[in-house]
Amino acid sequence: MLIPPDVTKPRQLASNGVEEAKLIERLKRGDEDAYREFMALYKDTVYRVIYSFSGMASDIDDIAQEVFIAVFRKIHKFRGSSSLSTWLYRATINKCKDYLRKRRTNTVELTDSIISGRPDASETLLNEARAKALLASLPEKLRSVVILREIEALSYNEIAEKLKIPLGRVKIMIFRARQKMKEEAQRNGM
Amino acid sequence: MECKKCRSLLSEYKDMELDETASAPIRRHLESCQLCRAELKAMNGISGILASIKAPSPPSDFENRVIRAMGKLSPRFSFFREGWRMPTLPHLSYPRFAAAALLIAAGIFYAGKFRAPKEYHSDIVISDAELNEFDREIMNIFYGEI
Repeated sequence: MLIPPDVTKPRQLASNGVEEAKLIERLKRGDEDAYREFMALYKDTVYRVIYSFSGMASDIDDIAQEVFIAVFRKIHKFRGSSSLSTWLYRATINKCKDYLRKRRTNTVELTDSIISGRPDASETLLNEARAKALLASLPEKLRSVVILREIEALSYNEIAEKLKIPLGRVKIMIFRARQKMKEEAQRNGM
Repeated sequence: MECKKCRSLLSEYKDMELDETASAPIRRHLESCQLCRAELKAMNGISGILASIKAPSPPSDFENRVIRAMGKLSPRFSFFREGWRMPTLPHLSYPRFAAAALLIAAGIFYAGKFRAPKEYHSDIVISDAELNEFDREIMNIFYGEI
Protein backbone atom coordinates (compact mmCIF):
# COMPACT_ATOMS: atom_id res chain seq x y z
CA MET A 1 0.00 0.00 0.00
CA LEU A 2 1.36 3.39 -0.96
CA ILE A 3 1.12 6.05 1.70
CA PRO A 4 1.51 9.56 0.34
CA PRO A 5 2.87 12.25 2.58
CA ASP A 6 0.37 14.52 4.25
CA VAL A 7 -0.11 17.36 1.80
CA THR A 8 -2.68 19.37 3.67
CA LYS A 9 -1.67 22.99 4.11
CA PRO A 10 -4.27 24.19 6.56
CA ARG A 11 -3.65 27.92 6.57
CA GLN A 12 -1.32 30.21 4.74
CA LEU A 13 -0.30 33.67 5.75
CA ALA A 14 -1.79 36.32 3.55
CA SER A 15 0.92 38.51 2.12
CA ASN A 16 2.37 39.55 -1.21
CA GLY A 17 5.55 41.45 -1.92
CA VAL A 18 4.53 44.68 -3.65
CA GLU A 19 1.47 45.34 -1.54
CA GLU A 20 3.44 44.60 1.60
CA ALA A 21 6.18 47.07 0.63
CA LYS A 22 3.58 49.81 0.15
CA LEU A 23 1.95 48.92 3.43
CA ILE A 24 5.28 49.14 5.25
CA GLU A 25 5.91 52.61 3.84
CA ARG A 26 2.52 53.77 5.03
CA LEU A 27 3.08 52.22 8.45
CA LYS A 28 6.37 54.08 8.73
CA ARG A 29 4.58 57.32 7.91
CA GLY A 30 2.17 56.62 10.78
CA ASP A 31 -0.88 56.20 8.54
CA GLU A 32 -3.71 55.06 10.82
CA ASP A 33 -5.52 53.27 7.99
CA ALA A 34 -2.34 51.29 7.35
CA TYR A 35 -2.29 50.21 11.00
CA ARG A 36 -5.85 49.00 10.63
CA GLU A 37 -5.11 47.17 7.37
CA PHE A 38 -2.08 45.51 8.85
CA MET A 39 -4.01 44.29 11.87
CA ALA A 40 -6.90 43.06 9.71
CA LEU A 41 -4.40 41.09 7.64
CA TYR A 42 -2.46 39.47 10.45
CA LYS A 43 -4.64 39.40 13.56
CA ASP A 44 -5.92 35.86 12.94
CA THR A 45 -2.38 34.58 12.52
CA VAL A 46 -1.27 36.30 15.71
CA TYR A 47 -4.21 34.91 17.65
CA ARG A 48 -3.54 31.41 16.32
CA VAL A 49 0.14 31.48 17.26
CA ILE A 50 -0.52 32.90 20.72
CA TYR A 51 -3.23 30.39 21.41
CA SER A 52 -1.17 27.44 20.19
CA PHE A 53 1.92 28.59 22.04
CA SER A 54 0.42 29.55 25.37
CA GLY A 55 -2.74 27.47 25.38
CA MET A 56 -4.37 30.42 27.11
CA ALA A 57 -7.62 31.90 25.89
CA SER A 58 -8.06 34.32 28.77
CA ASP A 59 -5.22 36.75 28.08
CA ILE A 60 -5.03 36.30 24.35
CA ASP A 61 -6.51 39.76 23.57
CA ASP A 62 -3.95 41.51 25.76
CA ILE A 63 -1.00 39.59 24.33
CA ALA A 64 -2.14 40.19 20.73
CA GLN A 65 -2.57 43.88 21.50
CA GLU A 66 0.94 44.07 22.94
CA VAL A 67 2.36 42.31 19.87
CA PHE A 68 0.88 44.85 17.46
CA ILE A 69 1.83 47.85 19.59
CA ALA A 70 5.41 46.56 19.82
CA VAL A 71 5.56 46.10 16.04
CA PHE A 72 4.12 49.56 15.31
CA ARG A 73 6.49 51.25 17.71
CA LYS A 74 9.48 49.63 16.09
CA ILE A 75 8.33 49.78 12.48
CA HIS A 76 10.85 52.57 11.72
CA LYS A 77 13.60 50.02 12.42
CA PHE A 78 12.24 47.62 9.81
CA ARG A 79 14.78 47.47 6.96
CA GLY A 80 12.92 45.03 4.73
CA SER A 81 15.67 42.40 4.75
CA SER A 82 13.02 39.88 5.77
CA SER A 83 9.26 39.89 5.32
CA LEU A 84 6.96 41.68 7.68
CA SER A 85 5.37 38.38 8.64
CA THR A 86 8.79 37.11 9.74
CA TRP A 87 9.06 40.06 12.04
CA LEU A 88 5.55 39.54 13.32
CA TYR A 89 6.03 35.83 13.98
CA ARG A 90 9.17 36.54 15.95
CA ALA A 91 7.49 39.32 17.93
CA THR A 92 4.51 37.08 18.69
CA ILE A 93 6.59 34.13 19.87
CA ASN A 94 8.77 36.41 22.00
CA LYS A 95 5.71 37.99 23.61
CA CYS A 96 4.32 34.53 24.35
CA LYS A 97 7.60 33.50 25.99
CA ASP A 98 7.60 36.69 28.10
CA TYR A 99 4.02 36.07 29.08
CA LEU A 100 4.65 32.48 30.16
CA ARG A 101 7.77 33.53 32.02
CA LYS A 102 5.84 36.18 33.92
CA ARG A 103 3.17 33.68 34.82
CA ARG A 104 5.86 31.11 35.51
CA THR A 105 3.89 28.43 33.82
CA ASN A 106 4.24 26.12 30.91
CA THR A 107 0.86 24.53 31.27
CA VAL A 108 -2.35 24.81 29.33
CA GLU A 109 -5.66 26.06 30.64
CA LEU A 110 -7.69 23.27 29.21
CA THR A 111 -6.09 19.93 29.87
CA ASP A 112 -7.19 16.60 28.59
CA SER A 113 -7.90 15.34 32.09
CA ILE A 114 -10.18 18.31 32.83
CA ILE A 115 -12.07 18.02 29.61
CA SER A 116 -12.42 14.25 29.54
CA GLY A 117 -14.13 14.42 32.92
CA ARG A 118 -16.91 16.47 31.38
CA PRO A 119 -19.85 14.44 30.13
CA ASP A 120 -20.57 16.95 27.36
CA ALA A 121 -17.01 16.90 26.01
CA SER A 122 -17.21 16.51 22.28
CA GLU A 123 -14.56 14.81 20.19
CA THR A 124 -13.50 18.19 18.81
CA LEU A 125 -12.98 19.63 22.28
CA LEU A 126 -11.13 16.52 23.34
CA ASN A 127 -8.84 16.71 20.34
CA GLU A 128 -8.16 20.37 20.99
CA ALA A 129 -7.29 19.64 24.60
CA ARG A 130 -5.00 16.85 23.42
CA ALA A 131 -3.34 19.15 20.93
CA LYS A 132 -2.70 21.74 23.61
CA ALA A 133 -1.36 19.12 25.97
CA LEU A 134 1.00 17.83 23.28
CA LEU A 135 2.30 21.31 22.53
CA ALA A 136 2.66 22.10 26.22
CA SER A 137 4.82 19.02 26.64
CA LEU A 138 7.44 20.50 24.32
CA PRO A 139 10.16 22.92 25.33
CA GLU A 140 9.56 26.45 23.99
CA LYS A 141 12.03 26.22 21.12
CA LEU A 142 10.60 22.99 19.78
CA ARG A 143 7.08 24.30 20.30
CA SER A 144 7.79 27.37 18.15
CA VAL A 145 9.02 25.20 15.31
CA VAL A 146 6.11 22.78 15.53
CA ILE A 147 3.55 25.60 15.55
CA LEU A 148 5.05 27.15 12.45
CA ARG A 149 5.09 23.77 10.71
CA GLU A 150 1.90 22.09 11.88
CA ILE A 151 -0.41 25.03 12.57
CA GLU A 152 0.90 27.65 10.15
CA ALA A 153 1.98 25.13 7.50
CA LEU A 154 5.25 26.89 6.73
CA SER A 155 8.01 25.13 4.83
CA TYR A 156 11.29 24.25 6.55
CA ASN A 157 13.02 27.09 4.72
CA GLU A 158 10.41 29.60 5.87
CA ILE A 159 10.72 28.39 9.46
CA ALA A 160 14.51 28.73 9.29
CA GLU A 161 14.13 32.29 8.02
CA LYS A 162 11.48 33.30 10.53
CA LEU A 163 13.24 31.89 13.57
CA LYS A 164 16.74 32.71 12.31
CA ILE A 165 18.02 29.18 12.70
CA PRO A 166 19.87 27.00 10.17
CA LEU A 167 17.78 24.73 7.95
CA GLY A 168 19.51 21.61 9.25
CA ARG A 169 18.57 22.58 12.77
CA VAL A 170 14.93 23.02 11.77
CA LYS A 171 14.87 19.47 10.38
CA ILE A 172 16.35 18.07 13.58
CA MET A 173 14.01 20.11 15.77
CA ILE A 174 10.89 18.99 13.93
CA PHE A 175 12.06 15.39 14.04
CA ARG A 176 12.73 15.59 17.80
CA ALA A 177 9.48 17.40 18.51
CA ARG A 178 7.53 14.69 16.72
CA GLN A 179 9.33 11.99 18.67
CA LYS A 180 8.52 13.75 21.93
CA MET A 181 4.89 14.27 21.01
CA LYS A 182 4.57 10.64 20.00
CA GLU A 183 5.93 9.54 23.37
CA GLU A 184 3.61 11.97 25.15
CA ALA A 185 0.63 10.68 23.18
CA GLN A 186 1.53 7.08 24.01
CA ARG A 187 1.99 7.91 27.68
CA ASN A 188 -1.47 9.51 27.84
CA GLY A 189 -3.19 6.92 25.70
CA MET A 190 -4.12 9.38 22.96
CA MET B 1 16.63 0.98 2.56
CA GLU B 2 16.90 0.13 6.23
CA CYS B 3 14.19 1.08 8.72
CA LYS B 4 16.63 3.23 10.69
CA LYS B 5 17.45 5.32 7.63
CA CYS B 6 13.81 5.50 6.60
CA ARG B 7 12.68 6.74 10.01
CA SER B 8 15.35 9.41 10.16
CA LEU B 9 13.93 10.87 6.95
CA LEU B 10 10.26 10.14 7.57
CA SER B 11 9.53 13.53 9.12
CA GLU B 12 10.91 15.36 6.06
CA TYR B 13 9.14 12.91 3.77
CA LYS B 14 5.83 13.60 5.46
CA ASP B 15 6.35 17.34 5.07
CA MET B 16 7.32 16.95 1.40
CA GLU B 17 10.72 18.47 2.06
CA LEU B 18 12.59 15.78 0.12
CA ASP B 19 13.15 15.77 -3.61
CA GLU B 20 12.05 12.84 -5.75
CA THR B 21 15.46 11.14 -5.61
CA ALA B 22 15.29 11.00 -1.82
CA SER B 23 11.55 10.29 -1.63
CA ALA B 24 11.41 7.34 -4.00
CA PRO B 25 13.38 4.84 -1.84
CA ILE B 26 11.30 5.80 1.20
CA ARG B 27 8.09 5.27 -0.73
CA ARG B 28 9.30 1.87 -1.84
CA HIS B 29 10.35 0.95 1.69
CA LEU B 30 6.97 2.00 3.09
CA GLU B 31 5.20 -0.32 0.67
CA SER B 32 6.97 -3.27 2.20
CA CYS B 33 7.52 -2.23 5.86
CA GLN B 34 4.56 -2.30 8.18
CA LEU B 35 6.45 -0.80 11.14
CA CYS B 36 7.59 2.25 9.21
CA ARG B 37 4.09 2.67 7.81
CA ALA B 38 2.79 2.66 11.39
CA GLU B 39 5.38 5.29 12.26
CA LEU B 40 4.17 7.54 9.45
CA LYS B 41 0.56 6.92 10.46
CA ALA B 42 1.37 7.99 14.02
CA MET B 43 2.97 11.16 12.71
CA ASN B 44 -0.06 11.95 10.61
CA GLY B 45 -2.26 11.25 13.63
CA ILE B 46 -0.39 13.82 15.70
CA SER B 47 -0.65 16.33 12.87
CA GLY B 48 -4.39 15.67 12.78
CA ILE B 49 -4.69 16.33 16.51
CA LEU B 50 -2.67 19.55 16.24
CA ALA B 51 -4.82 20.74 13.34
CA SER B 52 -7.83 20.64 15.63
CA ILE B 53 -6.64 23.69 17.53
CA LYS B 54 -9.14 26.46 16.99
CA ALA B 55 -7.99 29.78 18.31
CA PRO B 56 -10.62 32.20 19.53
CA SER B 57 -11.55 34.84 16.97
CA PRO B 58 -10.26 38.35 17.57
CA PRO B 59 -12.97 40.73 18.81
CA SER B 60 -14.63 42.80 16.07
CA ASP B 61 -13.24 46.03 17.53
CA PHE B 62 -9.71 44.68 17.92
CA GLU B 63 -8.17 47.35 15.65
CA ASN B 64 -9.89 50.14 17.59
CA ARG B 65 -8.68 48.72 20.87
CA VAL B 66 -5.07 48.68 19.71
CA ILE B 67 -5.30 52.19 18.30
CA ARG B 68 -6.89 53.45 21.49
CA ALA B 69 -4.15 51.79 23.51
CA MET B 70 -1.50 53.44 21.41
CA GLY B 71 -2.99 56.85 22.03
CA LYS B 72 -2.80 59.39 19.28
CA LEU B 73 -1.30 57.79 16.25
CA SER B 74 0.16 60.85 14.60
CA PRO B 75 3.97 60.49 14.62
CA ARG B 76 4.11 64.18 15.55
CA PHE B 77 2.91 63.21 19.03
CA SER B 78 4.95 60.07 19.41
CA PHE B 79 7.52 61.91 21.55
CA PHE B 80 4.90 62.76 24.14
CA ARG B 81 3.15 59.44 23.83
CA GLU B 82 6.15 57.25 24.32
CA GLY B 83 8.30 59.48 26.48
CA TRP B 84 11.89 60.35 25.77
CA ARG B 85 14.09 57.71 24.27
CA MET B 86 17.53 57.77 22.77
CA PRO B 87 16.94 58.93 19.19
CA THR B 88 17.52 56.29 16.56
CA LEU B 89 19.97 57.12 13.84
CA PRO B 90 19.00 55.59 10.51
CA HIS B 91 22.44 54.61 9.17
CA LEU B 92 24.79 55.29 12.05
CA SER B 93 25.35 53.07 15.06
CA TYR B 94 25.78 54.70 18.45
CA PRO B 95 29.55 54.03 18.79
CA ARG B 96 30.09 55.61 15.35
CA PHE B 97 27.87 58.49 16.29
CA ALA B 98 29.90 59.04 19.51
CA ALA B 99 33.16 58.92 17.51
CA ALA B 100 31.81 61.46 15.02
CA ALA B 101 30.66 63.77 17.82
CA LEU B 102 34.12 63.54 19.44
CA LEU B 103 35.84 64.42 16.15
CA ILE B 104 33.58 67.44 15.64
CA ALA B 105 34.23 68.65 19.22
CA ALA B 106 38.00 68.23 18.74
CA GLY B 107 37.78 70.13 15.44
CA ILE B 108 36.00 73.05 17.10
CA PHE B 109 38.55 73.14 19.94
CA TYR B 110 41.59 73.21 17.66
CA ALA B 111 40.01 75.67 15.26
CA GLY B 112 39.69 78.09 18.22
CA LYS B 113 43.22 77.44 19.40
CA PHE B 114 44.95 78.17 16.11
CA ARG B 115 42.79 81.08 15.17
CA ALA B 116 44.73 84.32 14.32
CA PRO B 117 44.84 86.74 17.29
CA LYS B 118 42.26 89.45 17.14
CA GLU B 119 43.53 92.96 16.45
CA TYR B 120 42.72 95.29 19.30
CA HIS B 121 40.89 98.41 18.33
CA SER B 122 40.07 101.18 20.79
CA ASP B 123 38.31 104.47 20.43
CA ILE B 124 40.53 106.04 23.11
CA VAL B 125 43.34 108.06 21.53
CA ILE B 126 46.46 108.73 23.63
CA SER B 127 49.02 111.19 22.36
CA ASP B 128 52.79 110.54 22.45
CA ALA B 129 53.23 113.34 25.02
CA GLU B 130 50.73 111.69 27.34
CA LEU B 131 52.50 108.33 26.93
CA ASN B 132 55.87 109.90 27.76
CA GLU B 133 54.33 111.49 30.86
CA PHE B 134 52.91 108.09 31.88
CA ASP B 135 56.32 106.43 31.45
CA ARG B 136 57.94 109.07 33.58
CA GLU B 137 55.45 108.53 36.39
CA ILE B 138 56.05 104.79 36.34
CA MET B 139 59.83 105.28 36.47
CA ASN B 140 59.40 107.65 39.42
CA ILE B 141 57.40 105.08 41.31
CA PHE B 142 60.06 102.36 40.90
CA TYR B 143 63.31 104.37 40.95
CA GLY B 144 62.43 107.61 42.63
CA GLU B 145 62.51 111.11 41.16
CA ILE B 146 64.87 111.26 38.22
